[in-house]
Amino acid sequence: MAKIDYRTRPAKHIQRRMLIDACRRLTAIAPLAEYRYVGFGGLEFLDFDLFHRAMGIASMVSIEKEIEAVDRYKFNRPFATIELRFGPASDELPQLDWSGRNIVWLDYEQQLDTEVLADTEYLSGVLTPGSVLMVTLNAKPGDDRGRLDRLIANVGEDRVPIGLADHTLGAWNLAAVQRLILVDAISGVVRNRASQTWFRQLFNFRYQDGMPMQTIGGIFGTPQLDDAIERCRFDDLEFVRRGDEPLTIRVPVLTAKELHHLNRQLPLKTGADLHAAGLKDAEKQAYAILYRWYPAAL
Amino acid sequence: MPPAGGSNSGASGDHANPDMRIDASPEKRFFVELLIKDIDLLPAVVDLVDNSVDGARRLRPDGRFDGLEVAITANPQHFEIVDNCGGIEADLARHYAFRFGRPADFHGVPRSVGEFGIGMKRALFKLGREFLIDSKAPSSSFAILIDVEEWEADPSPEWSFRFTEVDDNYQPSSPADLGTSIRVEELHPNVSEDFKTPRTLAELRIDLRLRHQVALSSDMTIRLNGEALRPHRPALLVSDEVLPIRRQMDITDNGSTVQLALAAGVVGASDHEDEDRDEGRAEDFKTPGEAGWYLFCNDRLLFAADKTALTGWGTAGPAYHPQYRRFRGYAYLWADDAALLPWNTTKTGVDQDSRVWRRVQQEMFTALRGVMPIMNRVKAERQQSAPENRPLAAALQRAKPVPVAELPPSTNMRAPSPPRTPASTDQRIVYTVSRDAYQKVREALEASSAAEVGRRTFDYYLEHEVID
Repeated sequence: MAKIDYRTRPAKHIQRRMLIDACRRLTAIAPLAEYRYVGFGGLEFLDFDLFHRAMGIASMVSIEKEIEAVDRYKFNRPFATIELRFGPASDELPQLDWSGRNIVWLDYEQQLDTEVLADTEYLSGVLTPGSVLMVTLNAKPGDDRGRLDRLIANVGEDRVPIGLADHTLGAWNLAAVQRLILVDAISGVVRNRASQTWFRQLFNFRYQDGMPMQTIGGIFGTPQLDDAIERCRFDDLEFVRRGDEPLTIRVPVLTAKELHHLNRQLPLKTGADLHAAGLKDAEKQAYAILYRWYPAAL
Repeated sequence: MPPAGGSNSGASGDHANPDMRIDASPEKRFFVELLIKDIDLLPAVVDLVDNSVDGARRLRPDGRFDGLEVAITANPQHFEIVDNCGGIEADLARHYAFRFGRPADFHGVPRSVGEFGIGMKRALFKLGREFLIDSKAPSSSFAILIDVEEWEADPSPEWSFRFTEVDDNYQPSSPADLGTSIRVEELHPNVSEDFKTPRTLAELRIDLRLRHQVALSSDMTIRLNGEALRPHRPALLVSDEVLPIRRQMDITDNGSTVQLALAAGVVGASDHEDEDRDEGRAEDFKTPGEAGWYLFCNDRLLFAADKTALTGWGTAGPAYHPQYRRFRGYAYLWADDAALLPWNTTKTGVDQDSRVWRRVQQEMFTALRGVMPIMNRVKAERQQSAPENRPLAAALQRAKPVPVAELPPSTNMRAPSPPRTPASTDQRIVYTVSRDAYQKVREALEASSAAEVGRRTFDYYLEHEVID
């Protein structure tokens, strides 16, 4: 079943592997096994599989809003230690104990709306320093008439930045605005926490496996944790994005032979070019950035 | 030419030294009118009780107020408040108590309610035009009679009142004699009118009971026209299976510390409340009720039953809806220095720009979100399960109210989490046809009821027309 996902959603898979790579570095803060992973497992539990196998996280919670097929989710659960909770995230998140360190991935299929904002703000108020929060959103601007109205309907006028219009919300611009609103919401909560907490963005992914999607994420800290977080050396990771400039994951479709040929030239020596017969420059460049996380099974 | 008499005044000028001074002195009448515009009658009276409570706190730092009493008399002729809470020393009256606003060098009793140095004066001006204040403190006593008309007419730039009697060597015969009595005569016509109305007095009773519930719970006696007021004692449901949120923390801002205690949970369904009432029918929920957040600063209630965005409704989570009517949240803030607390000057709400308040607010949001799922599940359970099969409702039914101060600490709200069941897959159909047509179909079917006619005609269509 996992193979199906690699083939139909390769960009998402690459993003997942990058997120895991970044989260591995949390070991400078605390042993990874002390972290809990909270996500929306779906039927395939792909992220759970990775967080368990690649990071050794055992304590895991999957929230599933679909309550019609409880048995099917239970059957597909890959590890015994995944706690399944059925209900809307907005109901289930506040019922969890947040006193430990967590990696939370709110992997929504919807666009940014008041529900997403409320969940994100709730977590921003309770996640302990050293915890990581990631939010995935649909970023499709839709029909060019009514984009601004839809955004206002989704998040409320009080959240919409000044100066937007339908024509400035096309292409990836909705993603940019959604990131702005989301990060603003997180910072707003963090500022008012009783302890001196801050939030630092680490991820700003965009990708398109059919539908334009985006993932914003980052880490919560306090002044006492500054040194430990420094030791994580997140900035050494070439996919980390601290600001509005995103990493757009574009996945070239390659044959096994092409892959093999390209891999032998990588990592590229400075100034060198990738050679592969018949591949466009854009495809070669995209591959040079992503090859370490490119799924071998593709 | 300078104006006559101007030449010998140091402040006035000539060509080389023009008069730089601009008059900005306050006008008493305007000042008084402005002062009382911002407060309603009832909060003004509650403000006067604040002074008595602060006196009690000075007298009994341990917070046990048994034997202390505040008696309020309000009628169309006059208003009176008499307490045995220690009185005001003459020196305090001379230099601080009657100033409009608190001088910077004044340090009141720790955890006081009086903060702005305006409450008592404003309340008196709000009530009427003549005040008689009588105080017996441990080492001094005094009396003051203030005629507002006369005071306003006095053009002296220095604002002052005068003792009518003062004794700086007062020796009380017993501690029980110590106290303050304030009497207001010549009530404003609207005040007189209001004190004639039983409804206003009943509202005042509710206000006093709510806003001074902590003092009342600490065994202070507050009487209104002779009636001793009963304290409100907030309590939340607790059992082996049900545990509300109760947290305690220090909030530091600019090196100063405010203590916060917070409790949030649910209360029992009220006796007259039909649990199965349709929550979508707004007309069934006419009174706003007691649900919502309560905020106390140094044991004085600031706002009650708040269900607005201020406390997270419609912002941190869903807007208030009757399914949340059993929610109660209590936030208590304490600071030795009352200036650190986020109250507005009338003590009826918060100073929303206060950083302390924003932090408290954030904790309230989190707590509210923690209780909402329980109430959502109560609703879902009621919609989906028969009364005998509602484990969460049953658990809440078995739980008992426990006073907020006695709740064990808990960061989360705990309650049984019965498995969610999918919504019913049934679809109800209702339609109307002519009676004639119905009779014909019913006879053809030999059916005995409209329900049977409906079901069998549907089944017929399903069987003959629909491919499964």
